[in-house]
Amino acid sequence: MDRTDTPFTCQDVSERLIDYHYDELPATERGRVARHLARCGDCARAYCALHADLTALGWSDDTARPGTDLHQRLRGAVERRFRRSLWQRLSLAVRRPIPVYQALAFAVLVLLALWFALPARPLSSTNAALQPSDRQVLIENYDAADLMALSPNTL
Amino acid sequence: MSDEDLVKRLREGDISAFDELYRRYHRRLFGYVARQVRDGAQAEDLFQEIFLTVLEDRSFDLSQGRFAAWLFTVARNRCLNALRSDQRQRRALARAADEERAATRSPDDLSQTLARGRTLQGAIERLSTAHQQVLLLKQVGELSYREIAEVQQVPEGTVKSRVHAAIAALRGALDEEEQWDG
Repeated sequence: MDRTDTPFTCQDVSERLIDYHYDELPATERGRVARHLARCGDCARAYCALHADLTALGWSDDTARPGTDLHQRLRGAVERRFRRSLWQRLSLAVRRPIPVYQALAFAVLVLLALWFALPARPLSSTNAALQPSDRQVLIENYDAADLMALSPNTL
Repeated sequence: MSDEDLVKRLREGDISAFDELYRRYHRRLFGYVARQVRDGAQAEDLFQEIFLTVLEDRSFDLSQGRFAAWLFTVARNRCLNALRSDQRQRRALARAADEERAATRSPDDLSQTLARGRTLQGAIERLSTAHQQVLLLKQVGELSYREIAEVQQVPEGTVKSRVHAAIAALRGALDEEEQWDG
C-alpha cells in the first residue's frame, strides 16, 4: 500500500527521477521525491547527473535558433492572409460593445451639455409663476363643497 | 490567454495574437525542425510552412484545445516528408551559427562545448529513430506525455516508457562516446 505520507525509498525515487525532471509527477509524489532528494546525497547526485545530461541535449538549441528576420517574414505572410479588410474593420467598429463606464460618462456629458445649453427657467412652482389676474380666477373657482367629497380621515 | 484563444483572435484579424504564438513556440518548434533536417535554411522554410499551415487549417476544432500537439503533429509529418524527399539532412550544422557563438566564447569554453556537442551528437545518432523522435518532442519540443501521445497516436503510458528507454539509451551511448573520446 502506497500511503502518501510514507517516505520514498531510493528505489522509488530512482524510478521517478525522469518524470520529476519533466514535472510529470502528481503533486503528492513530486513532494515526496523532493523531500527524499533533500536528505539523500546519492539520489541528489544521481538527479544532478540526469539533469546535466538532459540539459546538454538542449545545447544545440544555440545553433538551432531561427534567423532574426524569420519573425518579420512570417509576420508579413500572416498579415497577408489574416488582415481584416476595410469593410470588416468598419463592421467590427460599429458592432463593438460600449463599456458601461463609457456609456455612463457619455450620459453625464449629454446631461451637462443640456444643462448649460437650455435657457434658465425660474425655480418657482406653478402658482408662484401665475400672474395676479390668474390667481383671481383660481380663487373664484374655488368650491369648498369639493372638500366634502373627501373622507374625514383625509381631512 | 490560451493558445487556442490566440488562434481564434488571429483568425478574426488580430495580428498581435500571432506575435504571442510565435513567442511561445518559435524556439521549441524551430529546434525540433532544425534537429531533424540539419539545415538552417531548410528548417526556416519548413518552420514557416508549418506555422502557416496550422494557422490556416480550419478543420481543427479549437474548442478541443491541444494546439501544441496539433502543431507538432504537422511538424513531424512535414519533417518526415522533407527527409524522405531530400537527402540533405546529413549536412553539417550551420557554420554561421558556430562562428557567431565563437565570437562570444573563450577558446577553452568553445572547445569544451564543441567537444561536448560532438559527443552528444554521436550519442543521439546511435539512438533508434523512435527514441530520437520521442526525445526531440520531449526535450526540444517541451511537450507533455499527453501531447506526445497525441502526436504519435499511442497511449500515454507508451510514451512514458519510450521516454525512459530513450534516456537510458542516450546515457548509455554518452558513456560509450566519452570512453571512446577519452
